[in-house]
Amino acid sequence: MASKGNLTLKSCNGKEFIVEEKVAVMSTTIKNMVDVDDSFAQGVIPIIGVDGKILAKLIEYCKEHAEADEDEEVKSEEYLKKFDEKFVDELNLNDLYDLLKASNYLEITKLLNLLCQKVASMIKGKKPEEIRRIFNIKNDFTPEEEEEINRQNPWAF
Amino acid sequence: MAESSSSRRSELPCHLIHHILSFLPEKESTKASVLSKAWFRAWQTRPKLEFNASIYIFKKLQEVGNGSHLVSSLSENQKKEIYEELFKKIKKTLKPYSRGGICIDTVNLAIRQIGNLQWNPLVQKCAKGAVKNGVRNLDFCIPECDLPGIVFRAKSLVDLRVSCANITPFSVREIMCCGLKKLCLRIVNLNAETFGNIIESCPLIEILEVGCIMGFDHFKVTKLNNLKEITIWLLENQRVEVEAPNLELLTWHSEDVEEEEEEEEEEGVVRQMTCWITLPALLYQNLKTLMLRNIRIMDKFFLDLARKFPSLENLRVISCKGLQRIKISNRSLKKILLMDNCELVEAQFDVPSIVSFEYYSNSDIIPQFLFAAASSGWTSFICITVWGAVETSWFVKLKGLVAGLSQSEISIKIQLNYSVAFDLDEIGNIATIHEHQEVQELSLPIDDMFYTVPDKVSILNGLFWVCRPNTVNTYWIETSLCNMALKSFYEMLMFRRIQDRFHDLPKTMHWQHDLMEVNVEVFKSVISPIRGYVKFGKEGKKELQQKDLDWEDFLNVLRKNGTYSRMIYFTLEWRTVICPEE
Repeated sequence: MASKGNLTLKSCNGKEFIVEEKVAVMSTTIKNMVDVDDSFAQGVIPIIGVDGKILAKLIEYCKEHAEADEDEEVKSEEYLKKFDEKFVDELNLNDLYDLLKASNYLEITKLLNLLCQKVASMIKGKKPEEIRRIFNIKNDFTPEEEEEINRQNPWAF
Repeated sequence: MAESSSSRRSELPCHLIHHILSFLPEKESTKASVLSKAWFRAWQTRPKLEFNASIYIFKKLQEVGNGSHLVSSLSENQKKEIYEELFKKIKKTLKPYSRGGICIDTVNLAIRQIGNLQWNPLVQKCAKGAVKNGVRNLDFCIPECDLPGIVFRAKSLVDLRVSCANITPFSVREIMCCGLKKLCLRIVNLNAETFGNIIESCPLIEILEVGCIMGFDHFKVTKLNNLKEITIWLLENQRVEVEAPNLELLTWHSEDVEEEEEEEEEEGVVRQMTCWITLPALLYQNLKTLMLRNIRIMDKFFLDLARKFPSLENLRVISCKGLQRIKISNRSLKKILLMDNCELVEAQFDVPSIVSFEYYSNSDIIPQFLFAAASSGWTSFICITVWGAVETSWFVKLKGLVAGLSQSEISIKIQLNYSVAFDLDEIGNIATIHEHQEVQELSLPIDDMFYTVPDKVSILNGLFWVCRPNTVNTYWIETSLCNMALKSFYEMLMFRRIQDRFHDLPKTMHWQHDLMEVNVEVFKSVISPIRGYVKFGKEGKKELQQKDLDWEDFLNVLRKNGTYSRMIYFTLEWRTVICPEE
């Protein structure tokens, strides 16, 4: 059991993480759970559908940002920007997708924005075939359908 | 959420795709719509819509293919086609939203006046679709069009930006967007009463930007208790009254006098921008940032600063005419920036919390600064560019200015572009300060302009009489003029390497006696050497640190690896001496 001020988060594959409350409540979902039901604050909070690896990543991110929110002097905006850059650059595609979904489910808005921005930046300036290859997206259009869409917005291609 | 196969991982739920699309410009998000059916469906109901007439005009010009990029080369018929295509696009785009009752978060519409096209129906259509689907952010750039009345009836509206439009009394007949938090009106035609109506009906506005509004010369911003930021661009003879008790940021500009009119000035017709902001409240308790640009204010404006703005932290005064001798006293001020206030000759500061002070100037008038005891550990940056001739008296004044900042860590950037004369014999009569001022960094662009100055050694003689910088830095790009300039500078600095000439040293090169050591550091630089207000940064990879190189070897180091720009730092070690009385 976690000591006072700490929460225990449990991933879907059974890994437990003890984290400071201020770190955990960066997630609006967890914040709501703790606010509504005191027993969560005492016991273990199951994080459904998020495995240990992804949960560890989420905690790493939240920890940096929670500390920065608390003390601007130690972790400047510039420091956080660099941390964010490095954080998303080191992700492989599967982790990126899993983190996207997890941060969406846990409502970690800052992280969700960061990840969506990352995906957007990977799309920018590339041809559709390239984007499909990078993100492993299957083209399920018939050639006729694809042509029709291209025809409607010719300036975009 | 648990998905194991990697093919299923690649499918994102619709609302996440929406979120991703919201970070992309229209062209890119449209491109993303062909990725797959899931992306296409998401794109059809994307939360951010952009309609830009310029894209259609550009496309039409390409289609016509007569090689011209001028809109005037389009026939009336072709212009009509552009209008119709965009209209069709808007209709088609909006359909899925109105059918499915789907919310639109943001709509941006930008049209362009071409020929005699009447754009009003299209603007109407777009506004109607946006408002009916609960638009929150609306940005309309609609030259010569009327803003549809329905816009102000949008209860969902949070952020409204209107530029180049007419807002008629009819547009604001009914205002229901009472949740509006941001309002930006630029180059808009409306009368004072209409403006008053809008302000009165939207009491929750937090950020207000009003710029170049035509139609009245006096308006009031009152009753906005939530107002935190206001930016005002005034036209000539306009007067505005701002009464917002919780204001945190005030930016006040007047429109730049256009170049054609500057020519008039040369003919002796002096144009003065006259516009006023009145701040009638006695106290703006929360105001943290005050920025004044291109306006005419009097010295006495600053007298009230401490009483009226007791929380002020950031003060920026740029291109303000009429300032000559100012006194700034404020306990909360942390950052001060003065730029191009060309008549300023003296400033006194009592700012105990100061962290950074910056001064930029493009004139040969050098003001004197006086700081009452301030906190330790603050920095100052002085950037002066002179286009005219510079003489000994100029250096004396510069020394006075630097001395005024001696409580801080000083960096200066000096660019002299014309003739320079410095004579030590003249100093005795006019100088009152003789100690060498310690300066952290001296940025000295040694480039083609430097090379054209006839008496280059006077620049160094003068500057090293003014201050003893710990480092001198410059950028380098490979051009023959830049190389020649750097060579002459390098040889002046390294003069003492040739010992036997040391005895013949002219008196003006006094500093040579005190210069003990020169270290050179070269950095790979990505900074483009833009002339003007750029403070150089030590960025990039350090490539060299060496003491003793002759010019050719040094040049070879600069050229190594073929990178085409470098930052060079000369670290100077000075003998500590009590300055000889000249």
